[in-house]
Amino acid sequence: MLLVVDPGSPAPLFQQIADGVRAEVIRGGLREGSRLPSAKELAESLQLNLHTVLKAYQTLRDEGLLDLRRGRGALLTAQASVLGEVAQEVPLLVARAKAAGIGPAALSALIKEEYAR
Amino acid sequence: MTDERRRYLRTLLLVGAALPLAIALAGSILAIAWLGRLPAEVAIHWAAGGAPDGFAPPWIVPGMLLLIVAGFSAVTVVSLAAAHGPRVRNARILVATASWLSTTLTVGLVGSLVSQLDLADPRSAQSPAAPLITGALLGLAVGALAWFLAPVPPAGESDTPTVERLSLGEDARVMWTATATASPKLAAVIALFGVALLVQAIVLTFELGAAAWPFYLAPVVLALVLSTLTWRLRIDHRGVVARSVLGFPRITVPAGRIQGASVVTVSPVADFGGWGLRWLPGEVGVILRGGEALRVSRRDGHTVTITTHDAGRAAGIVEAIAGRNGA
Repeated sequence: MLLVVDPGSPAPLFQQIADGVRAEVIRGGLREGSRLPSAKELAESLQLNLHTVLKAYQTLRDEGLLDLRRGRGALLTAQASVLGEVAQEVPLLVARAKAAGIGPAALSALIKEEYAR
Repeated sequence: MTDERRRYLRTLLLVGAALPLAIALAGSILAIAWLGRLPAEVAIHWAAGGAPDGFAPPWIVPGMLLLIVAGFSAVTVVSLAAAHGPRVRNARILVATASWLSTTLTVGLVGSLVSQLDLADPRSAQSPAAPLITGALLGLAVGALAWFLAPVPPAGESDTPTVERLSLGEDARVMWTATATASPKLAAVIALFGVALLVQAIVLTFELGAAAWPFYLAPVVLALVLSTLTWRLRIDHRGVVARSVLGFPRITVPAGRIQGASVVTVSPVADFGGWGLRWLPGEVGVILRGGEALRVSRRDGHTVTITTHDAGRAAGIVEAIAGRNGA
Protein backbone atom coordinates (compact mmCIF):
# COMPACT_ATOMS: atom_id res chain seq x y z
CA MET A 1 0.00 0.00 0.00
CA LEU A 2 1.34 3.42 -0.97
CA LEU A 3 0.14 6.52 0.85
CA VAL A 4 1.29 10.02 0.01
CA VAL A 5 0.03 13.00 1.98
CA ASP A 6 0.97 16.59 1.30
CA PRO A 7 0.24 19.22 3.98
CA GLY A 8 0.61 21.83 1.22
CA SER A 9 -2.37 20.43 -0.69
CA PRO A 10 -5.78 22.05 -0.18
CA ALA A 11 -7.48 18.71 0.67
CA PRO A 12 -7.57 17.95 4.40
CA LEU A 13 -4.95 15.41 5.51
CA PHE A 14 -7.47 12.84 6.78
CA GLN A 15 -9.17 13.04 3.37
CA GLN A 16 -5.86 12.42 1.64
CA ILE A 17 -5.29 9.27 3.69
CA ALA A 18 -8.81 7.97 2.98
CA ASP A 19 -8.35 8.75 -0.73
CA GLY A 20 -5.05 6.89 -0.70
CA VAL A 21 -6.61 3.77 0.84
CA ARG A 22 -9.48 3.86 -1.66
CA ALA A 23 -7.06 4.29 -4.56
CA GLU A 24 -5.12 1.27 -3.33
CA VAL A 25 -8.33 -0.81 -3.19
CA ILE A 26 -9.15 0.19 -6.76
CA ARG A 27 -5.59 -0.65 -7.84
CA GLY A 28 -5.93 -4.10 -6.31
CA GLY A 29 -3.14 -3.61 -3.77
CA LEU A 30 -5.64 -3.96 -0.93
CA ARG A 31 -8.60 -6.31 -0.88
CA GLU A 32 -11.13 -7.80 1.48
CA GLY A 33 -9.34 -9.03 4.60
CA SER A 34 -6.22 -6.90 4.06
CA ARG A 35 -4.95 -5.37 7.27
CA LEU A 36 -4.04 -1.70 7.41
CA PRO A 37 -1.16 -0.61 9.64
CA SER A 38 -2.22 0.51 13.11
CA ALA A 39 -3.21 4.17 13.37
CA LYS A 40 -0.17 4.74 15.57
CA GLU A 41 2.20 3.21 13.01
CA LEU A 42 0.64 5.23 10.20
CA ALA A 43 0.84 8.45 12.22
CA GLU A 44 4.53 7.86 12.94
CA SER A 45 5.34 6.97 9.34
CA LEU A 46 3.53 9.99 7.88
CA GLN A 47 4.53 12.31 10.75
CA LEU A 48 0.92 13.14 11.44
CA ASN A 49 -1.18 13.60 14.54
CA LEU A 50 -2.77 10.32 15.68
CA HIS A 51 -6.20 11.99 15.61
CA THR A 52 -5.80 12.79 11.90
CA VAL A 53 -5.22 9.11 11.12
CA LEU A 54 -8.05 8.00 13.40
CA LYS A 55 -10.37 10.43 11.63
CA ALA A 56 -9.34 8.95 8.26
CA TYR A 57 -9.98 5.41 9.54
CA GLN A 58 -13.37 6.47 10.95
CA THR A 59 -14.29 8.00 7.57
CA LEU A 60 -13.48 4.71 5.86
CA ARG A 61 -15.43 2.81 8.51
CA ASP A 62 -18.46 5.03 7.96
CA GLU A 63 -18.22 4.17 4.25
CA GLY A 64 -18.38 0.50 5.20
CA LEU A 65 -14.91 -0.10 3.80
CA LEU A 66 -13.06 -0.68 7.06
CA ASP A 67 -13.74 -2.83 10.10
CA LEU A 68 -12.15 -1.30 13.21
CA ARG A 69 -11.86 -3.64 16.16
CA ARG A 70 -9.94 -3.13 19.33
CA GLY A 71 -7.01 -5.48 19.39
CA ARG A 72 -7.61 -6.82 15.87
CA GLY A 73 -6.51 -3.77 13.92
CA ALA A 74 -8.12 -2.31 10.84
CA LEU A 75 -9.38 -4.87 8.33
CA LEU A 76 -10.90 -4.13 4.95
CA THR A 77 -14.46 -5.40 4.59
CA ALA A 78 -16.25 -7.12 1.71
CA GLN A 79 -17.16 -3.64 0.53
CA ALA A 80 -13.55 -3.40 -0.71
CA SER A 81 -14.24 -6.09 -3.33
CA VAL A 82 -17.40 -4.27 -4.41
CA LEU A 83 -15.52 -1.00 -4.76
CA GLY A 84 -12.87 -2.76 -6.81
CA GLU A 85 -15.48 -4.28 -9.13
CA VAL A 86 -17.30 -0.99 -9.63
CA ALA A 87 -13.97 0.71 -10.31
CA GLN A 88 -13.36 -1.66 -13.22
CA GLU A 89 -16.25 -0.09 -15.08
CA VAL A 90 -14.87 3.41 -14.74
CA PRO A 91 -12.16 3.26 -17.44
CA LEU A 92 -14.79 2.38 -20.08
CA LEU A 93 -16.97 5.32 -19.08
CA VAL A 94 -14.03 7.71 -19.01
CA ALA A 95 -12.78 6.44 -22.38
CA ARG A 96 -16.19 7.10 -23.93
CA ALA A 97 -16.34 10.55 -22.32
CA LYS A 98 -12.83 11.34 -23.60
CA ALA A 99 -13.70 10.20 -27.11
CA ALA A 100 -16.74 12.45 -27.00
CA GLY A 101 -14.66 15.40 -25.80
CA ILE A 102 -16.26 15.48 -22.33
CA GLY A 103 -13.80 16.72 -19.68
CA PRO A 104 -13.40 15.44 -16.10
CA ALA A 105 -15.43 18.29 -14.58
CA ALA A 106 -18.38 17.67 -16.88
CA LEU A 107 -18.26 13.90 -16.31
CA SER A 108 -18.13 14.34 -12.51
CA ALA A 109 -21.10 16.67 -12.76
CA LEU A 110 -22.99 14.00 -14.72
CA ILE A 111 -22.17 11.40 -12.08
CA LYS A 112 -23.23 13.69 -9.24
CA GLU A 113 -26.47 14.47 -11.05
CA GLU A 114 -27.17 10.77 -11.44
CA TYR A 115 -26.62 10.26 -7.70
CA ALA A 116 -29.04 13.09 -6.89
CA ARG A 117 -31.88 11.52 -8.85
CA MET B 1 14.45 -18.86 -25.36
CA THR B 2 17.80 -17.42 -26.42
CA ASP B 3 20.66 -19.56 -27.75
CA GLU B 4 22.63 -18.60 -24.67
CA ARG B 5 19.92 -19.94 -22.36
CA ARG B 6 19.64 -23.13 -24.43
CA ARG B 7 23.41 -23.69 -24.15
CA TYR B 8 23.19 -23.05 -20.41
CA LEU B 9 20.41 -25.61 -19.95
CA ARG B 10 22.31 -28.19 -22.01
CA THR B 11 25.46 -27.80 -19.89
CA LEU B 12 23.40 -27.79 -16.71
CA LEU B 13 21.75 -31.08 -17.70
CA LEU B 14 25.13 -32.60 -18.61
CA VAL B 15 27.10 -31.54 -15.53
CA GLY B 16 24.29 -31.28 -12.98
CA ALA B 17 22.38 -34.45 -13.89
CA ALA B 18 24.02 -36.64 -16.58
CA LEU B 19 27.44 -36.77 -14.87
CA PRO B 20 26.23 -37.77 -11.37
CA LEU B 21 23.64 -40.13 -12.85
CA ALA B 22 26.26 -41.82 -15.08
CA ILE B 23 28.50 -42.44 -12.06
CA ALA B 24 25.62 -43.87 -10.01
CA LEU B 25 24.40 -45.93 -12.97
CA ALA B 26 27.85 -47.44 -13.56
CA GLY B 27 28.05 -48.42 -9.90
CA SER B 28 24.52 -49.81 -9.93
CA ILE B 29 25.18 -51.94 -13.03
CA LEU B 30 28.23 -53.36 -11.27
CA ALA B 31 26.18 -54.09 -8.13
CA ILE B 32 23.42 -55.75 -10.18
CA ALA B 33 25.99 -57.87 -12.03
CA TRP B 34 27.21 -59.06 -8.62
CA LEU B 35 23.77 -60.07 -7.36
CA GLY B 36 24.46 -63.78 -8.07
CA ARG B 37 27.70 -63.73 -6.05
CA LEU B 38 26.29 -61.91 -3.01
CA PRO B 39 24.56 -63.52 -0.01
CA ALA B 40 20.73 -63.32 0.15
CA GLU B 41 21.12 -60.53 2.66
CA VAL B 42 24.10 -58.17 2.74
CA ALA B 43 25.38 -56.01 5.56
CA ILE B 44 24.30 -52.40 5.01
CA HIS B 45 25.06 -50.93 8.41
CA TRP B 46 27.96 -51.37 10.78
CA ALA B 47 28.11 -50.70 14.52
CA ALA B 48 30.72 -48.29 15.85
CA GLY B 49 33.08 -51.22 16.55
CA GLY B 50 33.07 -52.35 12.91
CA ALA B 51 30.76 -55.36 13.25
CA PRO B 52 27.75 -55.37 10.89
CA ASP B 53 24.40 -54.80 12.61
CA GLY B 54 22.03 -54.02 9.71
CA PHE B 55 21.17 -56.35 6.83
CA ALA B 56 19.05 -56.07 3.67
CA PRO B 57 18.63 -57.77 0.29
CA PRO B 58 21.51 -56.68 -1.98
CA TRP B 59 19.28 -54.97 -4.61
CA ILE B 60 18.58 -52.26 -2.04
CA VAL B 61 22.09 -50.86 -2.63
CA PRO B 62 21.72 -49.94 -6.33
CA GLY B 63 18.06 -49.00 -5.66
CA MET B 64 18.86 -46.48 -2.92
CA LEU B 65 21.88 -45.18 -4.82
CA LEU B 66 19.90 -44.43 -7.97
CA LEU B 67 16.97 -42.97 -6.02
CA ILE B 68 19.10 -40.55 -4.00
CA VAL B 69 21.26 -39.44 -6.93
CA ALA B 70 18.29 -39.05 -9.28
CA GLY B 71 16.44 -37.03 -6.64
CA PHE B 72 19.36 -34.73 -5.96
CA SER B 73 20.08 -34.25 -9.67
CA ALA B 74 16.42 -33.39 -10.28
CA VAL B 75 16.52 -30.77 -7.50
CA THR B 76 19.75 -29.34 -8.95
CA VAL B 77 18.40 -28.99 -12.48
CA VAL B 78 14.94 -27.75 -11.47
CA SER B 79 16.20 -25.13 -9.06
CA LEU B 80 18.86 -23.80 -11.44
CA ALA B 81 17.00 -23.98 -14.76
CA ALA B 82 15.59 -20.48 -14.39
CA ALA B 83 18.72 -18.98 -12.83
CA HIS B 84 20.11 -15.88 -14.41
CA GLY B 85 22.77 -13.31 -13.87
CA PRO B 86 26.45 -13.68 -13.19
CA ARG B 87 26.13 -14.53 -9.49
CA VAL B 88 26.98 -18.19 -9.83
CA ARG B 89 28.46 -19.08 -6.46
CA ASN B 90 25.49 -21.06 -5.22
CA ALA B 91 24.79 -22.58 -8.61
CA ARG B 92 28.33 -23.97 -8.66
CA ILE B 93 28.04 -25.34 -5.13
CA LEU B 94 24.84 -27.18 -5.97
CA VAL B 95 26.21 -28.64 -9.23
CA ALA B 96 29.45 -29.70 -7.53
CA THR B 97 27.53 -31.24 -4.60
CA ALA B 98 25.48 -33.40 -7.00
CA SER B 99 28.65 -35.00 -8.38
CA TRP B 100 30.35 -35.20 -4.97
CA LEU B 101 27.30 -36.95 -3.48
CA SER B 102 27.01 -39.37 -6.39
CA THR B 103 30.70 -40.35 -6.34
CA THR B 104 30.87 -40.70 -2.55
CA LEU B 105 27.75 -42.83 -2.40
CA THR B 106 28.61 -44.94 -5.44
CA VAL B 107 32.12 -45.81 -4.29
CA GLY B 108 31.10 -46.13 -0.63
CA LEU B 109 27.96 -48.23 -1.14
CA VAL B 110 29.07 -50.39 -4.04
CA GLY B 111 32.54 -50.69 -2.46
CA SER B 112 30.97 -52.05 0.72
CA LEU B 113 29.70 -54.98 -1.38
CA VAL B 114 33.18 -55.93 -2.65
CA SER B 115 34.23 -57.62 0.60
CA GLN B 116 30.90 -59.46 0.69
CA LEU B 117 31.33 -61.16 -2.72
CA ASP B 118 31.14 -64.97 -2.44
CA LEU B 119 30.54 -64.55 1.31
CA ALA B 120 28.30 -67.15 2.94
CA ASP B 121 27.42 -65.17 6.04
CA PRO B 122 27.07 -61.37 5.86
CA ARG B 123 27.74 -61.15 9.59
CA SER B 124 31.45 -61.58 8.81
CA ALA B 125 31.42 -58.64 6.35
CA GLN B 126 34.31 -56.21 6.71
CA SER B 127 33.75 -52.64 7.82
CA PRO B 128 33.38 -50.41 4.71
CA ALA B 129 35.73 -47.70 6.06
CA ALA B 130 38.16 -48.04 3.16
CA PRO B 131 35.58 -47.64 0.33
CA LEU B 132 33.86 -44.81 2.24
CA ILE B 133 37.10 -42.84 2.62
CA THR B 134 38.12 -43.57 -0.98
CA GLY B 135 34.64 -42.46 -2.08
CA ALA B 136 34.82 -39.21 -0.13
CA LEU B 137 38.24 -38.37 -1.61
CA LEU B 138 37.21 -39.30 -5.16
CA GLY B 139 34.00 -37.35 -4.56
CA LEU B 140 36.00 -34.22 -3.78
CA ALA B 141 37.95 -34.63 -7.01
CA VAL B 142 34.85 -35.20 -9.16
CA GLY B 143 33.01 -32.42 -7.30
CA ALA B 144 35.87 -30.03 -8.04
CA LEU B 145 35.75 -31.01 -11.71
CA ALA B 146 31.98 -30.35 -11.76
CA TRP B 147 32.58 -26.99 -10.05
CA PHE B 148 34.78 -25.88 -12.95
CA LEU B 149 32.46 -27.33 -15.58
CA ALA B 150 29.34 -25.79 -13.98
CA PRO B 151 27.65 -23.46 -16.45
CA VAL B 152 27.32 -19.72 -15.83
CA PRO B 153 23.65 -18.70 -15.94
CA PRO B 154 23.05 -16.10 -18.65
CA ALA B 155 21.81 -12.69 -17.56
CA GLY B 156 18.05 -12.32 -17.43
CA GLU B 157 16.42 -9.79 -19.71
CA SER B 158 14.68 -7.99 -16.85
CA ASP B 159 17.70 -7.81 -14.59
CA THR B 160 17.89 -4.05 -14.37
CA PRO B 161 14.65 -2.37 -15.30
CA THR B 162 15.05 1.36 -14.76
CA VAL B 163 13.55 2.64 -11.55
CA GLU B 164 11.50 5.77 -11.74
CA ARG B 165 12.10 7.94 -8.70
CA LEU B 166 8.73 8.87 -7.20
CA SER B 167 8.35 12.62 -7.51
CA LEU B 168 7.26 14.11 -4.21
CA GLY B 169 6.27 17.64 -3.30
CA GLU B 170 8.66 19.35 -0.93
CA ASP B 171 6.45 18.77 2.12
CA ALA B 172 4.86 15.52 0.95
CA ARG B 173 5.17 12.48 3.17
CA VAL B 174 5.16 8.96 1.88
CA MET B 175 4.65 5.52 3.29
CA TRP B 176 4.66 2.15 1.59
CA THR B 177 3.79 -1.12 3.28
CA ALA B 178 3.49 -4.68 2.03
CA THR B 179 3.40 -8.20 3.34
CA ALA B 180 5.83 -10.52 1.63
CA THR B 181 5.06 -14.23 1.89
CA ALA B 182 6.53 -17.46 0.65
CA SER B 183 4.46 -19.59 -1.69
CA PRO B 184 1.79 -21.54 0.22
CA LYS B 185 3.28 -24.74 -1.23
CA LEU B 186 6.68 -24.15 0.38
CA ALA B 187 5.04 -23.25 3.70
CA ALA B 188 2.84 -26.37 3.51
CA VAL B 189 5.82 -28.65 2.83
CA ILE B 190 7.71 -27.21 5.83
CA ALA B 191 4.63 -27.39 8.07
CA LEU B 192 3.98 -31.04 7.09
CA PHE B 193 7.62 -31.90 7.69
CA GLY B 194 7.47 -30.20 11.08
CA VAL B 195 4.32 -32.04 12.11
CA ALA B 196 5.82 -35.38 11.01
CA LEU B 197 8.97 -34.71 13.06
CA LEU B 198 6.88 -33.64 16.05
CA VAL B 199 4.86 -36.88 15.87
CA GLN B 200 8.12 -38.83 15.67
CA ALA B 201 9.44 -36.96 18.74
CA ILE B 202 6.25 -37.73 20.70
CA VAL B 203 6.35 -41.41 19.74
CA LEU B 204 10.00 -41.58 20.78
CA THR B 205 9.17 -39.97 24.12
CA PHE B 206 6.91 -42.94 24.90
CA GLU B 207 9.77 -45.31 24.05
CA LEU B 208 12.78 -43.47 25.43
CA GLY B 209 11.33 -41.10 28.02
CA ALA B 210 13.23 -37.90 28.71
CA ALA B 211 16.14 -39.09 26.55
CA ALA B 212 14.05 -38.22 23.48
CA TRP B 213 14.37 -34.45 24.03
CA PRO B 214 16.87 -33.82 21.18
CA PHE B 215 14.19 -34.97 18.74
CA TYR B 216 12.10 -31.92 19.68
CA LEU B 217 14.79 -29.57 18.36
CA ALA B 218 14.04 -30.15 14.69
CA PRO B 219 10.30 -29.31 14.88
CA VAL B 220 11.11 -26.20 16.94
CA VAL B 221 13.63 -25.09 14.33
CA LEU B 222 11.08 -25.70 11.55
CA ALA B 223 8.48 -23.64 13.45
CA LEU B 224 11.00 -20.78 13.62
CA VAL B 225 11.75 -21.21 9.91
CA LEU B 226 8.02 -21.06 9.20
CA SER B 227 7.78 -17.77 11.10
CA THR B 228 10.43 -16.25 8.82
CA LEU B 229 8.40 -17.00 5.70
CA THR B 230 6.08 -14.02 6.20
CA TRP B 231 7.53 -10.52 6.51
CA ARG B 232 6.04 -7.08 6.95
CA LEU B 233 7.78 -4.38 4.95
CA ARG B 234 7.61 -0.65 5.51
CA ILE B 235 9.24 2.26 3.78
CA ASP B 236 8.88 5.79 5.15
CA HIS B 237 10.95 8.89 5.97
CA ARG B 238 12.92 6.83 8.49
CA GLY B 239 14.08 4.29 5.95
CA VAL B 240 13.33 0.67 5.10
CA VAL B 241 12.24 -1.92 7.67
CA ALA B 242 11.53 -5.60 7.09
CA ARG B 243 10.45 -7.69 10.06
CA SER B 244 9.19 -11.23 10.26
CA VAL B 245 5.72 -11.84 11.67
CA LEU B 246 7.14 -12.52 15.13
CA GLY B 247 8.88 -9.11 15.06
CA PHE B 248 12.27 -10.79 14.99
CA PRO B 249 14.46 -11.06 12.98
CA ARG B 250 14.29 -7.50 11.70
CA ILE B 251 16.30 -5.86 8.94
CA THR B 252 16.52 -2.06 8.78
CA VAL B 253 18.25 0.41 6.51
CA PRO B 254 18.03 3.94 8.00
CA ALA B 255 17.18 6.64 5.46
CA GLY B 256 20.56 8.35 5.89
CA ARG B 257 22.41 5.19 4.85
CA ILE B 258 20.49 4.53 1.63
CA GLN B 259 22.40 4.97 -1.61
CA GLY B 260 19.61 3.91 -3.96
CA ALA B 261 17.26 1.14 -4.98
CA SER B 262 16.64 -1.15 -7.91
CA VAL B 263 14.35 -3.93 -8.97
CA VAL B 264 15.99 -7.29 -9.57
CA THR B 265 14.77 -10.74 -10.53
CA VAL B 266 15.75 -13.31 -7.94
CA SER B 267 16.15 -17.05 -8.28
CA PRO B 268 16.23 -18.19 -4.62
CA VAL B 269 18.55 -21.19 -4.91
CA ALA B 270 20.92 -19.83 -7.55
CA ASP B 271 21.24 -16.33 -6.10
CA PHE B 272 20.94 -16.90 -2.36
CA GLY B 273 21.26 -20.64 -1.83
CA GLY B 274 17.69 -21.05 -0.66
CA TRP B 275 14.72 -19.38 1.01
CA GLY B 276 14.24 -17.31 4.14
CA LEU B 277 16.66 -14.84 5.66
CA ARG B 278 19.96 -15.28 3.78
CA TRP B 279 23.40 -13.82 4.34
CA LEU B 280 26.14 -13.58 1.74
CA PRO B 281 29.25 -11.43 1.93
CA GLY B 282 27.99 -7.84 1.59
CA GLU B 283 24.43 -8.96 0.99
CA VAL B 284 21.40 -9.73 3.06
CA GLY B 285 18.36 -11.32 1.44
CA VAL B 286 14.81 -11.78 2.62
CA ILE B 287 14.08 -14.39 -0.04
CA LEU B 288 10.57 -15.77 0.05
CA ARG B 289 9.89 -16.61 -3.59
CA GLY B 290 11.45 -16.34 -7.01
CA GLY B 291 10.73 -13.30 -9.12
CA GLU B 292 10.80 -9.56 -8.60
CA ALA B 293 12.59 -8.14 -5.62
CA LEU B 294 13.46 -4.76 -4.16
CA ARG B 295 17.21 -4.24 -3.79
CA VAL B 296 18.27 -1.42 -1.49
CA SER B 297 21.92 -0.39 -1.78
CA ARG B 298 23.55 1.12 1.25
CA ARG B 299 26.21 3.80 1.07
CA ASP B 300 28.81 1.33 2.35
CA GLY B 301 28.16 -0.83 -0.71
CA HIS B 302 26.16 -3.52 1.07
CA THR B 303 22.78 -4.47 -0.29
CA VAL B 304 19.52 -5.71 1.13
CA THR B 305 17.29 -7.69 -1.24
CA ILE B 306 13.66 -8.42 -0.40
CA THR B 307 11.38 -10.40 -2.69
CA THR B 308 8.04 -8.63 -2.85
CA HIS B 309 5.25 -7.72 -5.24
CA ASP B 310 5.06 -4.05 -6.16
CA ALA B 311 8.89 -3.86 -6.05
CA GLY B 312 8.92 -1.21 -8.79
CA ARG B 313 6.93 1.32 -6.79
CA ALA B 314 8.84 0.44 -3.63
CA ALA B 315 12.15 1.12 -5.39
CA GLY B 316 10.80 4.46 -6.66
CA ILE B 317 9.94 5.48 -3.10
CA VAL B 318 13.29 4.37 -1.68
CA GLU B 319 14.96 6.42 -4.42
CA ALA B 320 12.87 9.46 -3.48
CA ILE B 321 13.77 9.07 0.21
CA ALA B 322 17.45 8.59 -0.65
CA GLY B 323 17.27 11.75 -2.77
CA ARG B 324 15.89 13.74 0.14
CA ASN B 325 18.77 12.55 2.26
CA GLY B 326 21.27 13.71 -0.32
CA ALA B 327 22.00 10.49 -2.19
